[in-house]
Amino acid sequence: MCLKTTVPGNLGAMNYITEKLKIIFPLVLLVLWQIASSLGFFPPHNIPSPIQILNGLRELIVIGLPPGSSLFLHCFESLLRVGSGFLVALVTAVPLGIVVGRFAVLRIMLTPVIEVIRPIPPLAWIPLAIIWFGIGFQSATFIIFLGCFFPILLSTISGVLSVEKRLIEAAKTLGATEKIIFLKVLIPGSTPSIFTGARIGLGIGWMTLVAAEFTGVKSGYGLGYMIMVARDIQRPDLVIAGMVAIGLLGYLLDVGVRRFESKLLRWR
Amino acid sequence: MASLFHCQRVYAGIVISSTTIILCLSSVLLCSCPQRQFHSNKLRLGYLQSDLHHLPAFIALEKNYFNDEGLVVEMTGAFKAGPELMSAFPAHELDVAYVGLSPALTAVANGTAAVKCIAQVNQEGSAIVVKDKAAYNKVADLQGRVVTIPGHATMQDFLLRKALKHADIPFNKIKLLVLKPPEMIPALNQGDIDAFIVWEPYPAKAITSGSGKVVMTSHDIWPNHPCCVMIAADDYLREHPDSIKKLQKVHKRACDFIANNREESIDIGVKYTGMDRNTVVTALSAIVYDGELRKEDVMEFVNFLKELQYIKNEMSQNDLIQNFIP
Repeated sequence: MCLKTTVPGNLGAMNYITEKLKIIFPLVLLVLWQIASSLGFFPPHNIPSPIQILNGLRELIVIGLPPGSSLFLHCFESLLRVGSGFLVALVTAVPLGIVVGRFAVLRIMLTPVIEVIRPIPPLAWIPLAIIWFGIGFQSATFIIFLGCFFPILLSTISGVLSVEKRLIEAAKTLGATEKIIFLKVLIPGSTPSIFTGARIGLGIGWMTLVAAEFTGVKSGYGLGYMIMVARDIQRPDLVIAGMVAIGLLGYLLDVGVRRFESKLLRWR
Repeated sequence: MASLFHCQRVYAGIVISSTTIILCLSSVLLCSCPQRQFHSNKLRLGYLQSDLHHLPAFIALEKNYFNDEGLVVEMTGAFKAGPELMSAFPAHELDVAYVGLSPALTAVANGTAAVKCIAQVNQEGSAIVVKDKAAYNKVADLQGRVVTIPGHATMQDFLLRKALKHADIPFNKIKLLVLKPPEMIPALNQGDIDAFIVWEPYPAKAITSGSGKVVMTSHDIWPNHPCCVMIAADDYLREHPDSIKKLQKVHKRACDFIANNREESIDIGVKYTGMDRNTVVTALSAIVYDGELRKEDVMEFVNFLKELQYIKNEMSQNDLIQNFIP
């Protein structure tokens, strides 16, 4: 009896602690980092303290970098670039992945091509991106697209392959056409995998942002561009503040995708 | 019971994983605080890749001038950009380097590197370039056009602002773009940009390849302006005053060599920049080697950096210059 009443309480407390750890643990790390910085363990100009980084963030918001170019506009431009690259990757990789996953012949034909192109780092595409798309938005979007495309494609293929064959056979037995099989069996069946791929792709998209903005930023805005300016004027505090901004935006987007996924896939 | 066991496992997991993460992060952070490694008889040298302003370094290496003075040089590397090179100083990977005045001053002002200037390497040697077939051929025509600089807070950023001011064009009337120097000529050819300002040998390359023409040299914008300098780490300077004197002697000898042996200097320039001979010949005519670093010129540049908030306000302009030029 006693166990029955106390154990759920313990478990509840454990869940509560586990939930709170998400906030407490990073805070503990930040406090330790600040203490180490204040005690002089880290040279302030090489490894800025959390307070210096916070001041850097404030400077990026109030003054901007280059002065006059606010952090929010940098965020907005980068969101546009990452969003465009990601969306183009999504609308190309998902249909391609479903078709490749469905037809073995296509899979056999395309796998070597995919596996040769996939490991090429987006940075290596920069010279070609500039030649093909010129300097500015399109080439940056192309670099981000490359980062997002392959995780989405491979996850979609893997999602289609994981759909149980007997479901397809059952649909066929019931007289389903290929179109119906695609729409009613393959797409719903592979959606969880597609979401996983989309989340990974979006993360990699953010990772390629700095490289993408290396191709030149005509608008004068972009978080990657801002980090390069901070590097040019040798302000590690502003470099890290820019990294924090990218990290936070990436995290918020990931939370958004996960929420959308849990709403869309309530049937799971 | 099973649930209690589960709770204990979770606690243990939290403690173990937290300790592991903290230990990993601490070791990463501690490893990133390198301690100075003394190389008693080795001088670690750096310069910028393909930058013809650093020809005295190439000459001194090629003609063994360092060895002649008893200096054992270890090449740390040919860096792609000034800020990258400057970050090697706090990492204690460099003792002496040839670099632009701007990244060196910015690093000292913002506290990221403790270095001092021990010699001026060159004056002038930059130019504003437009398309070869462009109808516009003066700075005043750049209004509303895309103009490229190699970076914010660079000497070229300052020179462009100065040239536009002379031409009565507000800086915000041009479309400013930052590109790395090797990308500027292809961008000009493709029509992505209308003009660029950069250091040699890129303006010369634009001319010899038929891509561009010079509308204004940095000599026309700011005669005898300082550009690249030779710097030494503060602790190296303190501990090896004799070596610094030898380095200054080597530098003077290399500059004299350039003045007296043009043909051989061109050959060495070709070897170290990878550019064709014609480009190096054209570029060399725009660069002045040697000369003394004038504090009033440095003050003008520092004022620009300060005005645009590229450097912090922790040090006064005078203190910064006194600290940088001993």
